[in-house]
Amino acid sequence: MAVILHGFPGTGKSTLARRLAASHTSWVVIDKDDVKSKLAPTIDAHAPPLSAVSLVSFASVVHQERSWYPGAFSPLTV
Amino acid sequence: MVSRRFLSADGMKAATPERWAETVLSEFHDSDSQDEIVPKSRHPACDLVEGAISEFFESRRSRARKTTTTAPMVEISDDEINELSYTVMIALAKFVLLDRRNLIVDSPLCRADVFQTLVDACTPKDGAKAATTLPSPSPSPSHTAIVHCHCSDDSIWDARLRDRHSHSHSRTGGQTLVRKPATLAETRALYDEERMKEIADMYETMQSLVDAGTINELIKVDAASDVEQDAAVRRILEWVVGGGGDDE
Repeated sequence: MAVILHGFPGTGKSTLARRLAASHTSWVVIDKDDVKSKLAPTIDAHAPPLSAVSLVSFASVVHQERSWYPGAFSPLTV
Repeated sequence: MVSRRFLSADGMKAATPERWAETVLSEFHDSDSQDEIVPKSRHPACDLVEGAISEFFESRRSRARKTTTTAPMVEISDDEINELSYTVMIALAKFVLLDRRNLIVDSPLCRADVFQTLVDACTPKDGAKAATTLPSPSPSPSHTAIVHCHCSDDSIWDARLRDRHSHSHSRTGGQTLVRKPATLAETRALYDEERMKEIADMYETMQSLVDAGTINELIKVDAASDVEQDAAVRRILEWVVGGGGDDE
């Protein structure tokens, strides 16, 4: 059986998932936020430290390219 | 402020999709038995997740930019990590169903096309198709239900969000990778009129999937009603324990 819980934040999806999981041992719960919280550190673990220097360098390159190709890049917000 | 992450192109070469898939999958454990849901050895699930991650990074590699002072960098936005999370979630869902387990997908609101892919993965047609391509064929799920959660009482909804936020904040000390709205006002600010319309359309789509027999049932549950929540749990358990229920 597959149950897809859907809805706005705070409307009881995880509460319902916990109740179902507690009521029968056969459930496997996949929580999208849980997946995200496991993926993000693997990105960080392989990324070099983001120093102020590298951030400024990257921003300046984007700024230069943007001036060559107006509209090619969305505003950089960091 | 938009959260952004950067990954060097060299780092990306070292972080092969296979390695990433194994890292992610090894984190998933059965909370009761402590058994690994997905073994670290090569497994069909690795291929599913690896494929999803590989595709994601192939599309980003072309965006790597060289600077004069730093290694090539690829910018990965929070939205893109979100997108990848959905892809991995769907790959994991396919694996769980192919492994003949009962599945609960706790999925926040997502784009309509992502939701459709998730539904496809959880419905018999897609399950049967996937089973033919994997070494250990398994039956598709006997029953697929979508539970649409909502809250009819704004004060209860706001209290739920505030309570969740304060628990999460005290547990993590405010350091969290997944930002969630802390109040109802914040939640509403996240969803503009266009997005609300899209979500309303998705509910229509869900109903049409039931009408077409693609999914078995659509259950609407109000977080403000204990009676509705109890009824939903009972209804779902009828299928799990009894292997059926009436389709009235």
